[in-house]
Amino acid sequence: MGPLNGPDPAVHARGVGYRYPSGRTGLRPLDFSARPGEIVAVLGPNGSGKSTLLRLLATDLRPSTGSLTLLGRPVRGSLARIRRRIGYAPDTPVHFGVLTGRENADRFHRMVPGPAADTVPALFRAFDLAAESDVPVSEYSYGMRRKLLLVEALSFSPRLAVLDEPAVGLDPRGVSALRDAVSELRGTGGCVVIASNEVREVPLWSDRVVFLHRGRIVEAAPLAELLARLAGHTRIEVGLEDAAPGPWLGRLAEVRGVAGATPTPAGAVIESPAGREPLPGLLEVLLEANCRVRSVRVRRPDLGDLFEALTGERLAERRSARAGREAGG
Amino acid sequence: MWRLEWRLALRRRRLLLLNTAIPLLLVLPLATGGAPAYHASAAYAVLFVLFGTFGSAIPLLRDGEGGPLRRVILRGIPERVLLAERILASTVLDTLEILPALLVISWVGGAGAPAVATLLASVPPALLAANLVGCWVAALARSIAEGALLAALASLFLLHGSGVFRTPAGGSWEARVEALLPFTPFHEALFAVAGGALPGGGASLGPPLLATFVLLFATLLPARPLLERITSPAP
Repeated sequence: MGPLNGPDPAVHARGVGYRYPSGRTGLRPLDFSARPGEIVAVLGPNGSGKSTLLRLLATDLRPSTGSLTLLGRPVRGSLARIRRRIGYAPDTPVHFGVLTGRENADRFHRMVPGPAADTVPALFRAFDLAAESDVPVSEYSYGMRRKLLLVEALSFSPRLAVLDEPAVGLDPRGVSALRDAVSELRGTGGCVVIASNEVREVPLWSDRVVFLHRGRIVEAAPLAELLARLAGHTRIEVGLEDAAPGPWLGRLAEVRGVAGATPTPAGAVIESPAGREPLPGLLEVLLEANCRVRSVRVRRPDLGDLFEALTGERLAERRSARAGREAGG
Repeated sequence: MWRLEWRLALRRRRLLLLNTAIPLLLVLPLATGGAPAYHASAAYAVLFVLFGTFGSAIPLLRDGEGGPLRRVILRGIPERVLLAERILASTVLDTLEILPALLVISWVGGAGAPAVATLLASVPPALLAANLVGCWVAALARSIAEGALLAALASLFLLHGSGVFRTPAGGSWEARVEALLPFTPFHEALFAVAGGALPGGGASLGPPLLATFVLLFATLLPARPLLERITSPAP
């Protein structure tokens, strides 16, 4: 990522990499920066290094290579002072099960001296947890535990919030509360780094998006710039009974209004700068080639498509989002 | 952390009750069964020291293996403070939990006030040492099962060195080690309240207390790497 202008970065990583004790590479040496008052979304499929990067930013791991500075302090020696200013919500919600939700949140809020005003009750209301605040966490559902984790990470107005897959398991009200909370934090100069493999909600709140693939940053750009790259394009996904590529693929690309046709395991994806206009021509080509069309889906491309174009791999966002909803009950 | 430990202990009422009742139930037949003081005190010492070591190692391993301990560390509590407060809370709690059993032993043994006072004074340092041993066990073990084995091994080895299972010859190196170990005064106090008589009044409290403080220092000084090992165990 390029040089920074403006205020000192909240995160400044140079050549930071991580190798797990087994020898497996979690993150290849990379440069990463984030400024106060900025929301950065880190997108990538499972195993791309998102959680490793976030664990490094939360000081849960120490870099194997490179130098990392968080909130103006280098990550070395005792980290207690840095950690007091970081709100970290890991991907697994872990709490003191015998304590109530309110007790858990209060403990984490007051564990160290000098937190900001007590925002725990307001966050409990926002995340729709107020009615269950006096229930032991062992009786909470997965989604409620995820919400409590976010309350604990955000209640003390951290200067750096590190949120790993924060929307997984949340109901719509929870997602809305999360969006409001991170926006408010950004408004007070806090920096928020969010990891996600979902592309339709959380990344759209961000100022900047970083694509991570196999432990490497493959793209880092302002959200507006990435969305501009997608603007004016339509994606037509055709599902076929027999998806083996044939001469029809080349003929699809020649249909008026088509910018490109790519084979997929299920059929083909057609890029159209002309919206639905090429659809009749496309169907005509397929019928002439005796292809049995199973489905046609017309949609606007999203960040997942951009990721796929850059890496050749899918983010698997749809399956993850569904799994999250199911886990949330 | 101190307050959190107490809140957690008081909320786990069943565990609190069991931790108080089980030592009592175990010592009751020994105390009332007329066992010789030498054998009874050895059994008591084994029971209480294992109680302290297991009580420190197993919860540390449990909270470290995907538990909330890592999250507490990441909230910014200095590791040394966290470990010190946790050990202190655990030692006080252990002392209170075995207190009824100690009083029963003293009462049934017909111990006088000086012997009971000596016993009560020897309990916190012994349980503090047991808790510190438990921390090292948790740092070295890779699982709860391994922790239980290591806790038993370390405790029994130290109890053996403390003269619980045999009396070393005067002037031997074993006798010099025995005089240093933190469990020696505790075992001798248990022997006294169980009706035994120590020739020469038993070991001095000074060297074992000093050894306990050295162990405390040796545990808190590397608190960060110790907790790193406990909360991020190597595969």
